[in-house]
Amino acid sequence: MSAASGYLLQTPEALLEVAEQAVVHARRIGADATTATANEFAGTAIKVREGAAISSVRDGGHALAITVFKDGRTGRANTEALDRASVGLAVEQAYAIACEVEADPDAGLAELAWLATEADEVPLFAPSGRTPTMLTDVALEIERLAIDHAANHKASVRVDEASAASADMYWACVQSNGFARAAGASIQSRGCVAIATRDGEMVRNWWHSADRRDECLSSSSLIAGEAVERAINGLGGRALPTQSAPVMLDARVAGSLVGELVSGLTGHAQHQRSTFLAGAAGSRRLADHLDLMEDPFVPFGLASRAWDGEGVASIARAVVSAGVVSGYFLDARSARKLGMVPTGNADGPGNLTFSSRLASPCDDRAAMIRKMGRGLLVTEFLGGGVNPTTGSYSKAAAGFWIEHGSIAYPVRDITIAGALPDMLVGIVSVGQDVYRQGAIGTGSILIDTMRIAGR
Amino acid sequence: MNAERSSPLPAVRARLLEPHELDDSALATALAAATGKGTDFADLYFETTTRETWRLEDQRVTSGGYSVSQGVGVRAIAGDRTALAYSSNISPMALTTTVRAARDMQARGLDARAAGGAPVFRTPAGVQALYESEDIVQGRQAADKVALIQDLDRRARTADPRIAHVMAQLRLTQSLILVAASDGTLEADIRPLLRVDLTVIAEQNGKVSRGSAGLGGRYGFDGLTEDRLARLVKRATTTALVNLDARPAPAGVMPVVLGRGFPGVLLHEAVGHGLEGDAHRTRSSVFADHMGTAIAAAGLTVVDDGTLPGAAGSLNIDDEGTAAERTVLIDKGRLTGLMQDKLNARLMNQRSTGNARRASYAQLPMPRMTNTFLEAGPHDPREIIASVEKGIYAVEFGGGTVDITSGRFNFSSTQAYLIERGRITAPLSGATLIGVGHEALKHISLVGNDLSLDDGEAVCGKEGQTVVVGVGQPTIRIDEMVVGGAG
Repeated sequence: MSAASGYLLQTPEALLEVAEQAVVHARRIGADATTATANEFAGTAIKVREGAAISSVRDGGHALAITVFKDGRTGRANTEALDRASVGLAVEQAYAIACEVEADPDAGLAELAWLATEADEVPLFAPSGRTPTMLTDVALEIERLAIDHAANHKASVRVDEASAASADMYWACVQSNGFARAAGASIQSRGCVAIATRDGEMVRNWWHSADRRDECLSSSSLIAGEAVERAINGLGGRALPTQSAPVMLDARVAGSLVGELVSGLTGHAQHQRSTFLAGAAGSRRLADHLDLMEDPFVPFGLASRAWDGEGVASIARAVVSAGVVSGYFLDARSARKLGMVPTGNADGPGNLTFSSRLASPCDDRAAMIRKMGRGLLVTEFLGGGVNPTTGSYSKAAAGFWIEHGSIAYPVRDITIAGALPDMLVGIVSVGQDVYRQGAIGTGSILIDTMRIAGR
Repeated sequence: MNAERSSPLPAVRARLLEPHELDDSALATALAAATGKGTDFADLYFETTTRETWRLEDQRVTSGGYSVSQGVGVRAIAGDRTALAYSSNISPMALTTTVRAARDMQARGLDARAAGGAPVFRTPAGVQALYESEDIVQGRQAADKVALIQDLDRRARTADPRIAHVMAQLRLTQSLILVAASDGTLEADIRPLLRVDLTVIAEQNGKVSRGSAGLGGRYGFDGLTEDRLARLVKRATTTALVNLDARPAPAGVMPVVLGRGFPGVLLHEAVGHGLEGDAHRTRSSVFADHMGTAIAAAGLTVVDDGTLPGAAGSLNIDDEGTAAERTVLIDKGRLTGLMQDKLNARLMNQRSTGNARRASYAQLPMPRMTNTFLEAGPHDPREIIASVEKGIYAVEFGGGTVDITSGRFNFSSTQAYLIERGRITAPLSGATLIGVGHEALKHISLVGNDLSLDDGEAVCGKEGQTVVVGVGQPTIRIDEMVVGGAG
């Protein structure tokens, strides 16, 4: 493994050449416009149990995605074979499909003015240099630390699985309008799944850490400890009587609520009006102390990028400001449909931070629990559904009942339900205990009231 | 169609191996290199999957896509330790490199130098023919495919004036797979999969709602019967229209009547996952301590059956080359069967039940469900609804999840109604229903005589791998279940 390119076998230049080849071929056979993205990813993923690697996977592959436009009609093709003949064939397949479909006046490449021709790359590439043996040792260490940690408790705990993985990727995008850029990224992850047993009851829980840089991952002991603690804490949980009560979403699961807000603000949902937030731009849809900021330029951020899959330059901005929706997440086509400008979100949101203007620096988790006083602290979602169009919300949850500002007992076998439009307006507080998972960072979110179904 | 036919091996070999200068002896040599001292088992999984997608939005089919995914996965197993390496190149050199990579991953602590013997492949006997093997991707003109989703758009918009938007998608997939293993297995399969998805948006007096439905199976265009298409449109439009007037679902414990077909996702979550062999070998399933015991009324029988002709979850052979079969999971209320792959079966001294499945050559096989359903009972569905004093009747669901260790499961309704004094009275917003697997089934008191499988739209996720499955049941009454409504 070379230090410079991590697990990867190809260079960004080679991928640019493959994408360029596709664009040239498409032009030759009659396409009006073409975009081609070639990528390579490679890595190693290890899972251990009882002191041995139970699964060792060497990941690696490459692919080319082509989109051709002909008279407003769109054809796409993907191929995992990157030899000249296969690339040519894929281009011809995409073109053949474009010839069969109908025209969409809003389809096409992004306008030149929107493209990231100058913007600097955001650093995302940080190969770990970890061999399979090294990753196995890390996973074994997590397992050992979890067993040590469990020894301090009365409950019997075993480790179902500990894992360590590392991967690198390059991608190169070439468009017929002259855009040609390549970038790379790395991703490291560690995890632990623990099963706690007491009086015939088994509770499984887990913890994990993901980061672009190996040295920025949570420590093995933190991951092991969290998994064990979370499994033990779930033992002896009980249902609540059906009631309405304040609900606080722990920072570690609160990102899902922000995610539901984001889904309603995507260009596709707005264009189809298939969201409870249809036409929300410019109107107050959240409590007036709430902000949602997007910053795609954070070095080594999990959702950082200088340009999206359409080559559009990323922007840092407020998506929600003082409760007022100020923008959508747009790709080129949905922007045209809505008469707007794309926001560089063809690949989803950049790093988001959800916060409250009322938060004080000492609003940590304990302070947030005191602030709620009495109600349900949700630490886990087991499943459930949201109707994105009506905003009807109902999820299976588990956590703790809070009395007099502190934890009274673990809760499970309940659901929480409400209507998203009311929940967003009913957010009372967002903590400073920020937890970031993927694109979304938020503190614990306290909601004034929700319907809890239990016994 | 459920007849035996000669193995598709020659046809698959001609597509997957011969163009890349590979033959059976090259596979035997590769397997010899992949096995050896300490390694019990190795297999090679060759795959080429071709997929075509057509999309309609705003009354026009404005885009389509074509993709080819192909490669080989090499797996080496020592005890319970599995190594996987794969390559999207199929060639003698790529095979050698990939075998070495798998071997290197496995070799930690083992002697990697001694190679095992080359297997002698068994000649495949006649195989099940649960689906046709002709190419459903290339089998029709593009114009027919475009016309099909245009027709669905027209049907949905004319079903009711309140239907404002329609999105439809047609996906045609053909997979050719070939498995060669150190135990002498050499099998192949050609798997068609057709899938249609329809989403509609209804609008009335400023209120907006949506409905979705899917249709699919291992069949070609001929399988898209008028009945199936009409039902697809009916399901999507009804869900959207009913939700325009829906009131919040009630909250708390109450009787629940589940409709036939897709609501059988209950069995998939409450029972199915907890009976997959891997979870029993590692004793992480709550059912590990309940095998052989009664967990439901004597009238309840639940099976996993991979041999239903044309069903989305059916397989002539599984992804380890074992013939799919019918496994009784709950026999007259008693927990009986496990679904097994080769690895878990061997370590548990059982036999594989043909449930090994992998999402692609790039992922490891695991024990997975095929088509899982509750057998029919004696009751008229109308009588079941009439038996409820106050409760809910749920007919469409979005999906569900389960924690196999505790048995806790949930699934979310998208079309539901209030039952009052034995009659359906008002539409309800979607709600999540929750329960505990080994307890919930005890509360099933009435089983209908109207068993059906879902329409071929179910998919199942496990450890990041998604595969197509079937779920099903007749109408059933559950006396007690937590309904997570907002009302």
